Amino acid sequence: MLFNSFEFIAFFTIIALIYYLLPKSLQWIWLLIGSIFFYMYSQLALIIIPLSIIIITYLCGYYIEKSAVEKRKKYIYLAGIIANISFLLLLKYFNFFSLTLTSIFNSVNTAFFKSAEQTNHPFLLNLAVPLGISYITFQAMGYLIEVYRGTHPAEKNFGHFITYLLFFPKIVAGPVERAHHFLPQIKTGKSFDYDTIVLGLRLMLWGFFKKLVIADRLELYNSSVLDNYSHHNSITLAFTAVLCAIQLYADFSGYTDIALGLAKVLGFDLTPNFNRPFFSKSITEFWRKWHISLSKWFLDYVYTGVTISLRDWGKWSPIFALNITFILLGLWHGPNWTFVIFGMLQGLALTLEFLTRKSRKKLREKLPVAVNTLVGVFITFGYFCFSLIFFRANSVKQALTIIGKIFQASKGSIFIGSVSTMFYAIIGVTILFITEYFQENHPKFLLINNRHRIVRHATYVTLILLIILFGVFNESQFIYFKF
Amino acid sequence: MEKADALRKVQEIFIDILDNDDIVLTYNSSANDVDEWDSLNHIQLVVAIEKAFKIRFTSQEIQRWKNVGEMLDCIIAKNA
Repeated sequence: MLFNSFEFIAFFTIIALIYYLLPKSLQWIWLLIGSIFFYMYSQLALIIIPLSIIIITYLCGYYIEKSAVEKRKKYIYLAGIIANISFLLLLKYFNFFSLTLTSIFNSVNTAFFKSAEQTNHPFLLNLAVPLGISYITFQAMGYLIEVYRGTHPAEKNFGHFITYLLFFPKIVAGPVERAHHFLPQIKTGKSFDYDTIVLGLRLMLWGFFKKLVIADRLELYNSSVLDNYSHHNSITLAFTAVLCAIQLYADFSGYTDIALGLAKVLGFDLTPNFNRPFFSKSITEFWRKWHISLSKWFLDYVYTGVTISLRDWGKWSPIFALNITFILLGLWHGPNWTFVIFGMLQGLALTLEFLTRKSRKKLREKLPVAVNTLVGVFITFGYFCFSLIFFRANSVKQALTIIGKIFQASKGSIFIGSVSTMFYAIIGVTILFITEYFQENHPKFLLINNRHRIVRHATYVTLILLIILFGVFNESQFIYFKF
Repeated sequence: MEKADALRKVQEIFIDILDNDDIVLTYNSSANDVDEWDSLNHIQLVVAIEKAFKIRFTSQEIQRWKNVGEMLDCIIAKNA
């Protein structure tokens, strides 16, 4: 059930109406029923997998806290982490590792034993990937780490714990919520609050605008170019790379706004995932503003641990930790070398920025602020678009061909495709960037949250009209649902 | 060692490592209050503090601090 489908809107309306009619002590049970229904509506039998993960994680958390012996705590903790990783590896990455190992084995075989005719075929599993598995396991592991460190108490109420991990507004594509932020919110009943609900609905409206008007419109153009990438010239491919970055942002930040808005209507605060990333002046800054809940997870649970344990390596410690962290963050998106390279490119940029930070600081002091900002934003955005070619491509070979074609500088004019598609998309993108420009530089200038009713209502009407007139209503998936 | 002395010494380390003479630390300071104090520099600060005070923190200790004050308590406890 997609957020941008009519059946979801019907589902959510029923959930929200009954939610506020129920006594506060029963509200979380209603959310749990709704979340299980939401999950089983898409994947009936597969709910057994998240439920198994939740039961194991709950029990491990409980016994880590209960156990008085340090060694025992550690074993239970490790068992919980290994169980979560095993679920993830088996269901999402098994074929990737099997294929990689078999191809290494075959090349060794061919190179040393010249037995090319006896190639081994990889052993592949044909498993369906359960909805939101990467998000559930990451939240579960974060919870276990906190309980083990003693920074968060183990949750005693099993019902609250399932609701935390299955909460339907965030199950399919996050945000990756921390236990200490989410669990206390389940424990308090919510009263009907008009202002909060309106805030939630505004977020959803803005999210739907980004998804339906910008992302889905750009998808029409981007896929038409990328499906025939070998027939397009360098300027078209470079332009498409930029549009892919904008599409991904509109899609994922649109999804996140809808998720946050849905949760807000139910009285919950979820972690924002984006903070106008395209205004970042460096890749380091970019990763503090892009998919924040995930990059913060990796920062706290992977990067920090690695730097601390390797701190005697001097400056190599953060460099090594950064690169490992971003390779894993890339691989988190899916079992493909394209994501590994995407992660490596982030690690490379962050390493260069780390090594040159003092000289760059001196350079910045000599240049006017406007020049610094423009150059920084331009390079950061360009580099991210470049790295996204790997993210978007189906294979490394395809990505390299596209990059090769871009840098060949082949002649010819830019491919526009359908003029109306491009025109509507540009209107949407312009509105998005002007809005974000004001949010970034003139935060007092408000439209959708303006004090004056006329401005607010005019904004609602404009956005709704834009969605109706220019939106793409083919109920297309959100990109991050597949991760 | 007095907490105030430790604070002064830590502040000097911050000024040196982060290359910014304007840094003024209080017990409540955290990474949010100092521009250059980010996750990349953090570990270098920790190493410099360990060297200056001739102590060794455990990873749990490092991960538990919420502000400069908590870090100073940890330094003083180890130096006692």
